[in-house]
Amino acid sequence: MRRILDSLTSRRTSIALMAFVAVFGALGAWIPQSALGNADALATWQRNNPLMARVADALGLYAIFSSWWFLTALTIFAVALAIATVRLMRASWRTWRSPVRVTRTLLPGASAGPILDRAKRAGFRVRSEAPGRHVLGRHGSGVWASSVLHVGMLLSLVWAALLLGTTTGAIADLSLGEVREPGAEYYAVEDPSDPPELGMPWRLDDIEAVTWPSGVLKELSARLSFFDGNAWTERTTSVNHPLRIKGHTIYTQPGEFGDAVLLRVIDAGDVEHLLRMDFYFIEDGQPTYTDGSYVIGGASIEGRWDPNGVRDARPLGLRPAGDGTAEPVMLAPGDMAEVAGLTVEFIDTTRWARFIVQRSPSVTPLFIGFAIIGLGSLMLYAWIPRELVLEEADDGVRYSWHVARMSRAYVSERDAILGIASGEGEGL
Amino acid sequence: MEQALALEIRVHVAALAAYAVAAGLVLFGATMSKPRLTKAGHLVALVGLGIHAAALGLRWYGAGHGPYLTRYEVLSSNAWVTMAFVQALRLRRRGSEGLAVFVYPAVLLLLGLAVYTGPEVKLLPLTFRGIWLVLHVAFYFVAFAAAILSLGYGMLHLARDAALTSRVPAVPDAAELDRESYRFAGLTFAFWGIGMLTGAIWAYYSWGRFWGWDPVETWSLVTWFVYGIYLHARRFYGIRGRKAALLLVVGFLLAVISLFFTSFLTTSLHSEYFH
Repeated sequence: MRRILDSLTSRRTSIALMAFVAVFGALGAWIPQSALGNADALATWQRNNPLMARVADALGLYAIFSSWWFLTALTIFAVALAIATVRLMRASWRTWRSPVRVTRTLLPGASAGPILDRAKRAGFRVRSEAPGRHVLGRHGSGVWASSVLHVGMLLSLVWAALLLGTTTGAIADLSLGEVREPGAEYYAVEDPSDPPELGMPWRLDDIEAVTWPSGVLKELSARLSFFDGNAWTERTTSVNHPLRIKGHTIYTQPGEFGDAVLLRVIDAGDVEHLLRMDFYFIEDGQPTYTDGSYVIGGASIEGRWDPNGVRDARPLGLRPAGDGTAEPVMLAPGDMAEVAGLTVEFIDTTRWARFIVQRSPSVTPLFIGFAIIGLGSLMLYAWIPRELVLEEADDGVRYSWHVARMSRAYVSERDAILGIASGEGEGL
Repeated sequence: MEQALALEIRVHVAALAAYAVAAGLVLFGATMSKPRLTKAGHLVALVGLGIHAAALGLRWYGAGHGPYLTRYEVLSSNAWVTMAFVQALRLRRRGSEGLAVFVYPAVLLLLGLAVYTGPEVKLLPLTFRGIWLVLHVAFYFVAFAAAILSLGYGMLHLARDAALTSRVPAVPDAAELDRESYRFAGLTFAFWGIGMLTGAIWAYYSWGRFWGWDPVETWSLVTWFVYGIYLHARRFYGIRGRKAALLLVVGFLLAVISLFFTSFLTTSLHSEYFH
């Protein structure tokens, strides 16, 4: 058991696992993954690579990142990382607490004073001092660099797994002034048995889109209000600045908003329907069309919205769905018309927006993990621990020089401090 | 703004010309053992760096956003950061002059490609904003510059192995080339990793997920792992010299694929980048 554990957590296994993830990651980036919603791209790829498509199909390479073997490899990698981290921390602790080393090499005729001065000028600090014995060091905390890096990776990996396993999302669809009550149906939901729920009513108050002179979207933000039982509190969510509230995060998305028209429709059976017909925001201010058709009482209609066009006095066009030859009926707010056997009254205009609502644990530990990785990486290559031990002797000064990593790169620094010519120092 | 953009193109071409002269002088000076020519080449490169900085500044002002969206901007920024990196190294550390033999032509190639792709200006997409995106891009620029330097040392090592550098006295000995390539591969690994992490934070704020196995993300992870494999193999298994240099070449090729090719592969959240 011990041998299995040792081999699973060895550096060799870690390297093999990294190579494994790298190879299958590269394959997963090349072969469109069905689990990532790339159906069109996947069909095109299969058409262009018929032979590879058969191989990929046989080996299950269309869902690499969610396959049991890929997730198992990642899990083993995480375990190996955890054990490597513990081992590294123990090693770092031993190095940190290691006793002062024995001096080895004699510099005949030298005296400690000038060497100490040069060392201090080079940024070395005195670690300990006893009569005739001086220990100087630089970047001593750099011995923890690998440990810090691995702790950061471990924290990030564990928290990322936790986030992936516990985050659940849904899409809320609201028009201006509309209140979403707790438990109301979502536009779409990831896990219907466990939808994210804030537990309080919330409302869309306003959506503000700022465009460049060319009409391209520049900024998008939405004002939302939340009712805590006593009062409504206003908050804002915008692209790149989601709103975090009660363990939930609310995102606004650039393509998911636009104008809407409110219609009262009476079908052939004299049944009245209230309908919100949505139009997506079009960046260049051109006319926009409904995304699909609206079916009411057996009849279906589609719409065209052109608030900036030449017919802006009657910006709404309606016609039977799928009939490209039919001339649309143009309406202004308050107008009424017959379309596809339906009596339609254009009541008012409004705006709509969709919001991603996610319930997840705080991402702060993940970001702390990232920060620790950054710190560890920089420590690893910027803080190289060096130690110089000097001992005064009758015939000169004895010294020893220790560098934790890349020792040859610091030979010139050592020689400059000791005042010796290049190549005269002790071997590394 | 339009005037700035019109001027920026000319200034970019001037920087390209300066780099071409610098690369020519350094290559000629190094192979013909003419130290004065090499020195002049370094001076011209330094002047070119200043001109290039002005060009990027004008671009920034004219386009209304940092130079990190189109191919022209990305390649030019990469070229500038690499040249700045090598100049800082050259002025700070002796023995790094030999690197110019590889890096100056590489920078010339990058900027040449940038100018070739054309200076079309694009508006920054709505999600391509914020400090995390700026950090994400900046760290990748530094990582790529470090990767070029690392590859430069590795290639010089391979060239020395093949006895191609016997007439270039500025090239350090094999052990130092090996050590420096290791050092810069370490920097590549560090900055590439931080670049990925800042990208993950940006993705979280923009799209509500920090990782999505997007092709660009995945290739970036693959590249990072390959540099990680190199560092582990170098440190714990004593892989040195030629083998290490060849592994670095693989890592660099992956870095190039990640940064400049993957956004064309398939649908990607990064598809606005580098188009």
